[in-house]
Amino acid sequence: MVELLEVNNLKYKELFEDISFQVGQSKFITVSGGNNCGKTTLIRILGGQIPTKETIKLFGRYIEEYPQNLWKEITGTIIPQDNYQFLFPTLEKELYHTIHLFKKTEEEKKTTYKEIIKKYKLTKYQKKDPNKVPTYIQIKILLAEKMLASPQILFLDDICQELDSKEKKEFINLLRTLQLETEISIIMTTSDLNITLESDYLLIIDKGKILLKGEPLTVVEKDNILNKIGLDLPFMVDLSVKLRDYNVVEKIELDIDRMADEIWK
Amino acid sequence: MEIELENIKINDWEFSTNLSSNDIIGITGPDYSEFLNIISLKELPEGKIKIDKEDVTKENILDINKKICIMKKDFKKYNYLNTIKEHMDFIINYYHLQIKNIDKKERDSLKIVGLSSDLLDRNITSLSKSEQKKVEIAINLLSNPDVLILDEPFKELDNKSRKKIMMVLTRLKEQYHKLIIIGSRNSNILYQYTTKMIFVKNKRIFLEGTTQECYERVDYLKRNGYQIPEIVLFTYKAIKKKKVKLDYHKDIRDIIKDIYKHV
Repeated sequence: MVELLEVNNLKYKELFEDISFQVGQSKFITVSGGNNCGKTTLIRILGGQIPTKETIKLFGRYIEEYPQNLWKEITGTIIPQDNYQFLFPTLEKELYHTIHLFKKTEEEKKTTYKEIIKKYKLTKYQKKDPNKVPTYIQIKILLAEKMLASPQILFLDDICQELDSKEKKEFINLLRTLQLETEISIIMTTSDLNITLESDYLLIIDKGKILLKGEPLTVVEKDNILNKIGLDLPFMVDLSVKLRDYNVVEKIELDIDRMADEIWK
Repeated sequence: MEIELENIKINDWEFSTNLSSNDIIGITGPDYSEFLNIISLKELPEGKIKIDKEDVTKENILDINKKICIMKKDFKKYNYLNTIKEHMDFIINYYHLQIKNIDKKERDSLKIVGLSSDLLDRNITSLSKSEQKKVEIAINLLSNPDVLILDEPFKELDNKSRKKIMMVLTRLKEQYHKLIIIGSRNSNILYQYTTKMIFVKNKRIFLEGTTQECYERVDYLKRNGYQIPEIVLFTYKAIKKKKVKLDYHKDIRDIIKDIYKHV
């Protein structure tokens, strides 16, 4: 069977020595690692901004064999540190501009617009200048625009970095909903392991190689390895792992109330 | 180093507070960035302001301005400048900083943040994230500020780098008596690294006090939309729901010892 995405023995400058992984259809993959482990570069490579040769395959075909425009159509890349500039004076005009490219009838355009506003919770911001709204709203506009092109796979670079913990939760839920509805796949880098808990699969990269991989819960409990490369364990995981060492609890518990029940029965 | 702000009024904001270098001060709240701008005194507000007992007036505001430095979220890298030295020279010229021995000053600034002066000829983009942050602080130290206001200084930094930067900031406070003010939306980080907190909301100071006291008011803060550090929230629930005598700690290992005593 042909995988959706295959990365085979990726090497790049001093950054990547040997990175290989596969991504199936409708999967949410997170990638993490300490500062300067190459998270952004990985997204640039996957998004086609940095050329590779016979390394990355989508639907069994190498990235360099796709015409540039087709590659952009079937994939969507967001790298917030590239400082996107919105071109239109209001969020409404900005979104309609993208909707025009993908929807034909006026009816369709209107319904699509309304759906996006509702789903992404943008009602309050429709008449606002997209360049001046909070980062969280800008990220949602970027995502909505990428999703309009119906990509097969999204490459997102530390897109939650500027969000507070409540926004992060809400955003990950939105992302997950979109992903399951459209059955696309997502590869997202993050420096916050809390976020990875919601994904299907987690890769930790360090010194140019994949250091750990697997279901997020089985990866994030490796406290010694993760601390060594500079990553914080999610608080509840950290607490569980340490209490388990003292034989106070048996397994990882992510819910505070259930954890309290578990400790003080 | 102390700033006294009394009956401050500017752009619908109204507040009074004291900021002292005895503390590392954290600022949070929906409009915290505006608050950081106001206390950077780039614009002289209505009200009474004293810095180390000396009145701030229209006459001396320009000198005061040089003493307060605000580091915004995103470091402004000038694309036409390459090396750290070029950046430093540019800042010295741009702000007309009166420095006798520029070479020495530049090397010393790097030294204070724990970087070798060999880095002066390195390109900023070739540095690691934590080195870049240190360089950013070093550049801001060129004007010899007494006050450093930092907006989300730990954004993008993993915990290793965060600890390194925090060591630099603590040294600036302890050895050089600089007033360090950190604005952030991350309650975990504020709880960990600050000793005094100011919570702002709707252009007012909503709550201020020691970091410990403030964050222990869990219900009050939660009701008003503030985020509670996870370690505090867990302790709070254990105390309230399970009636366990736990103490509030900053380090997870201390809380584990406490739990072990009480199971």
